[in-house]
Amino acid sequence: MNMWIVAAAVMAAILAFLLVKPLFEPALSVEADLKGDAPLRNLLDEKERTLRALKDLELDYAMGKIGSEELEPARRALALEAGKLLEEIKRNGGR
Amino acid sequence: MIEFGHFALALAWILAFGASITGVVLGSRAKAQLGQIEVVRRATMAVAACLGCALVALGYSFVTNDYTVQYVWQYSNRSMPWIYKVTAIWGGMDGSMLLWCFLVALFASFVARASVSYPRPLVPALLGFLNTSALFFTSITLFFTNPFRYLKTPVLMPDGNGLNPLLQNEYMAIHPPMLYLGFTGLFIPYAFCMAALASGHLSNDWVRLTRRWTLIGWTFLTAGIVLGGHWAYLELGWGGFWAWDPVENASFLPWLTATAFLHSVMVQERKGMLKLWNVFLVTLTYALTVFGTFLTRSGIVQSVHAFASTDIGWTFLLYLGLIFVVAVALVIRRRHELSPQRTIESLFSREAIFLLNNLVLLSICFAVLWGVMFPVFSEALTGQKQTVGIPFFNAVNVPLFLLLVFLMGVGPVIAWKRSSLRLMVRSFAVPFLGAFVVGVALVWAGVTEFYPVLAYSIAFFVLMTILGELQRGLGAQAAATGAATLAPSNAVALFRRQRMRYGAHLIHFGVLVMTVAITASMAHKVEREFTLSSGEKYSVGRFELELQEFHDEEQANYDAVQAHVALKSLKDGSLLEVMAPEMRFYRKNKENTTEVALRMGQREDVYLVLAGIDETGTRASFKIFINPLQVWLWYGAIIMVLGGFVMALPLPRQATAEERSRGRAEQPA
Repeated sequence: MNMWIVAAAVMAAILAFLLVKPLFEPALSVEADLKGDAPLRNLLDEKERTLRALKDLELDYAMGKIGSEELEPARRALALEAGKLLEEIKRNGGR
Repeated sequence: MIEFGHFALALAWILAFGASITGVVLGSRAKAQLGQIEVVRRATMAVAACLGCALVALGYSFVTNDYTVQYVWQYSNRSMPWIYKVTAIWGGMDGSMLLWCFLVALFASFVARASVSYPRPLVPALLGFLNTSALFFTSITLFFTNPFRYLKTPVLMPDGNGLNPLLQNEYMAIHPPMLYLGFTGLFIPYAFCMAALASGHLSNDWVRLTRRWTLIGWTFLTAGIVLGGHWAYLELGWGGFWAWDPVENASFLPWLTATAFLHSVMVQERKGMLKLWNVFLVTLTYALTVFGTFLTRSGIVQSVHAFASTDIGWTFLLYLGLIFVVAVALVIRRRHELSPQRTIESLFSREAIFLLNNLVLLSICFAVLWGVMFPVFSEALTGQKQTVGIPFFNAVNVPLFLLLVFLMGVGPVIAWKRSSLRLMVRSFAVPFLGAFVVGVALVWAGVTEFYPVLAYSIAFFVLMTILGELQRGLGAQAAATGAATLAPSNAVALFRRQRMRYGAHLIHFGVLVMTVAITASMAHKVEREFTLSSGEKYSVGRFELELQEFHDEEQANYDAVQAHVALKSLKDGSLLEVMAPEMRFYRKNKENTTEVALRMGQREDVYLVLAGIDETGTRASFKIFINPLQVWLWYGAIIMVLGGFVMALPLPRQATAEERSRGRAEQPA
């Protein structure tokens, strides 16, 4: 029985050491921003969605799900949207 | 050893408590020290390590026959083979809760480990919510179902009470852990979702990260449900694999909502729609896994799978309430950010089909839930417990499932946003025509029941659309690269480039195979009861059975009587197999069970049950089931699980919104 008590104590000590250690590491004493830039993040998400939609459009065309008469107007609309988004992202300090 | 296990469990509780509070508090701040986040991350992993130690301690007590421990005494016996001593760890309520805790903590620790590359604003709250879940289950185990308790009084059976004979089966080693992996895996999407809502980091990141974890949980749950069905098929002796039993249904409910989420999350990722709907689905999925645990452990419904009735049901109800309250509060707080960025433009778009698919899945979920809870509602309203059986579930769900399978064929063929009607007609003309021809051919061949004809026709339609998609994909890939369309390298390149898409097709193909197998085994099943003396014969279908002899057998923990029955071809009299169904008597438990003799075949299963032997010991009664295409149900399930794992494999890492907003791709810490 004593053996298990010793094992439990050793386990608790090792865990305590490993858990507390990061608090004393200089590299981890930096403060991190947890809020971020929400408007810019949303714009970047939108940019990603638009580029993805362009890719899906090309794929749907290649797979014969839409015809060339639907492809061109949709591509133009998405390209226009992507351009506007890129400008707005630049204005918000992103790339 | 038992003290060590108890200590590890208590330590896990302390760590989970500390980590959940710290995680949520840090998540609510604007800034936090990286070291503090690292402490919570490490504490999350330490919870899993402690619970792993507790599980090993309990397992050690089982394997070393420590019958001073109440739980070990109750579910084990010295004469049991060692494999069942190990599986007995989760054979009862206390051990199964400990395993559940461990798996929750294990998943949480994997997420914690991976979280070094997650968007930083999401991490503290995510770790907090992961640990809250671990804390709840650890609290139940530590305070209500603690397996680390000594027997209070000396007992009559010093060698242990023994495990329920139905649980002394190889499937006990794999089915419950697989099912629990599925259940516990599905709490991760909830933690991600709540963390995103709490931190306000509602970009696409959480959706992208969650999808893979949901796929992992979904795949394990699929495997667990099917393994349970296979176990029931082999062990329970009624010739079927799914009886719409309350506990079976409890595992199926979160599967349905998780499947709905896996489809609707694609719409959010691509179109910025269904954000609130996805929060609802994720919350409902997690709530249904907790509800399933409540159902199995509260004793409110009767089932062969349920644990003994306990008084911990209220804790699960309380937690269920908390899950919804937290979700509703956070949704109200973030309601403006959850508004859709676009609307569905056309009914002939993939997003519209996905929404329809979600509605069908939720309708099935509601119907099943209604059937499960009907005895409780009827007792509350009329004072009499009334149950609904297999006919109710089949009548409601068969048409809904067929609609779902049909949508499975339509969805992938339709384009995002809007499809050209002309091209849709061109894509669907051949599959529709093929399905019609199949339907007519079946009626001509004598299959006249409505649902089987419809099911086979829809299955053929979906098969044609999947093959059509594959052909078009290969063609597009070949046109882009200049390779030959049917070259293996072209197929491999296509699969690599669009692993998620073709993984999904693989899952759909598995569902298709299962649909055909379920239809065949339901519609064309043959069931007979008969009695034979030695040397007597009985014919059924294309088989003849002849009782040869009885054989007694004595094993460590049971006595058995086997009937040796020769299975012959009726056509030419050739011997196919000597089947040996048996009846067992477990000495310690004083219980009788039957063991099925099964001849699995690609065309049909022959399923023979020894129902009884008369007093003279010379005449036996049998039940036989001829189940057409039954084995294809299991093949279909294997294909589904394979597809799930293919999709769950890690994708190349993408920059998070945070990294992109900083304009460079660096590791966040």
